[in-house]
Amino acid sequence: MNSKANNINNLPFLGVGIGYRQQFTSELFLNQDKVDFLEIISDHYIDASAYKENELALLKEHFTLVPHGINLSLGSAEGLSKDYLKKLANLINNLNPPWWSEHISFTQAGGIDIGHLSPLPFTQEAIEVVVQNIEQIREYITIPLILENITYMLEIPGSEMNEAEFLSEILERTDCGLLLDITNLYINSVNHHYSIDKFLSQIPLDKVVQLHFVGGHWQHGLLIDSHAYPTHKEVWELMQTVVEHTNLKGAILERDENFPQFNELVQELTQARKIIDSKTKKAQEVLSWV
Amino acid sequence: MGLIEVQRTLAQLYTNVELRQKFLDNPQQTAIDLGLNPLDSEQLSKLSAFHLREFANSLHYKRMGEVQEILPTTEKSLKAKFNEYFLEFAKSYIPSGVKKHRDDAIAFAKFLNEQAVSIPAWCRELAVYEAMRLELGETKKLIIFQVFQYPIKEIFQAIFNNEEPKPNKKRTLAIWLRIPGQINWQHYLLSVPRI
Repeated sequence: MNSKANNINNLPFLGVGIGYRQQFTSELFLNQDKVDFLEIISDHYIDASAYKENELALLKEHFTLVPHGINLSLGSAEGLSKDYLKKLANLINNLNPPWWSEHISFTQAGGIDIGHLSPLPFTQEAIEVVVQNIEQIREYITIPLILENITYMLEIPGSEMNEAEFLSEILERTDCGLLLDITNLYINSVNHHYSIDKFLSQIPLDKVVQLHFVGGHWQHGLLIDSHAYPTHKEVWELMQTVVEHTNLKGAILERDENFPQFNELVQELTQARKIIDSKTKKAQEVLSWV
Repeated sequence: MGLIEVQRTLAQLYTNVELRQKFLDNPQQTAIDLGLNPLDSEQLSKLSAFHLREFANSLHYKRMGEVQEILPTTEKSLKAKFNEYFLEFAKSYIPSGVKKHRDDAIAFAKFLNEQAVSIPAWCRELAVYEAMRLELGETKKLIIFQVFQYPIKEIFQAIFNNEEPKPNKKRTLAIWLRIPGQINWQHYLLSVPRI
């Protein structure tokens, strides 16, 4: 595996940002000083209209941008779409971000676009598929790739390991960083009745580069990752734990629906920043004792 | 596990309502019919019916939500019928690619116009009008126009004032124009009063 492509140790610290959504463009620019960086959805700027190209240029002029992929289908056993990969590479290479991200999932199979991130079975075969697909990606994109854990409503039968072991082996084999979606982790732990502490003890925390956080909602006895509500109390607590044990480079509030006033989003960014800064302060205190 | 075949089967189960029901009625046989080997079929038959339904429904509502966002006036005018028609439409069309939501919205507007005969004609025209606006960002054309049978502007105003539109037929020309090299469009809606 091309190690040059994924040196996650030297990534810059970006701070706390938000997933860019067109709905709050004006407020975003009015609150520019409160947003350290933006995550953009790659798909929105592939084969883009002139309007979207101008939007991207404007965002790039004012913010550090990190592309976030949703449709590369890293876990597709059929392999990746070369056409899509080339277009994605073109976008990412032109933006030249510090890193970019995709999900450990599949979104397409047999010519069907499922329309959302679908879980892989936690098997050795699925790991091989992801590893091979990432090797192919690196022929086109050498900018560091970080991988995100998804929520899954259903478990695919036939798993040979648990989710943490599955993610860990992929991270180990690909040398990718981890975009730890702490909301997804919380939701999965609730829906699939597992211990977050055990999960965290099984994944390589030194590979965590970035976090996602937001709130979901309950439906039919399941916690849904709807990106439509304020961050859960439990997720804030989880952020505190994760921050203490990682060398985090950034965190993104990933709100997609049911938008509140922008100042409510800013409050969430401020809360995340406080948690992340508290680690720096603790480190400074320790240094001052030495 | 033959992951290629399993993923192809799952993609169908997630997106095809009838096939999913057939699978839930007889999982192992349906999986074999879909090309899985006996071992994978047996394994896949252990999928939780509840969770499969929930996931498939979440995909449907996510997809519909995207189209509702793109066609907000059509959604407001159709109310609960939007869901009903979208469910019907989704049986025969699965969008793909980076512009799938836009393509989905355009195809749904076309479906409403051509097949949703039980909704008022003005409502079908409204969907076509709203979908036409989606083409603006993609086209290299400098002028786009369409003739409608109903006063689109009045319908829009009524819907956004939360009133029930009761439009009379009034031939309306919708025109979008732009200057070469510019991305902003000028838009005009010209209604001809009935004589």
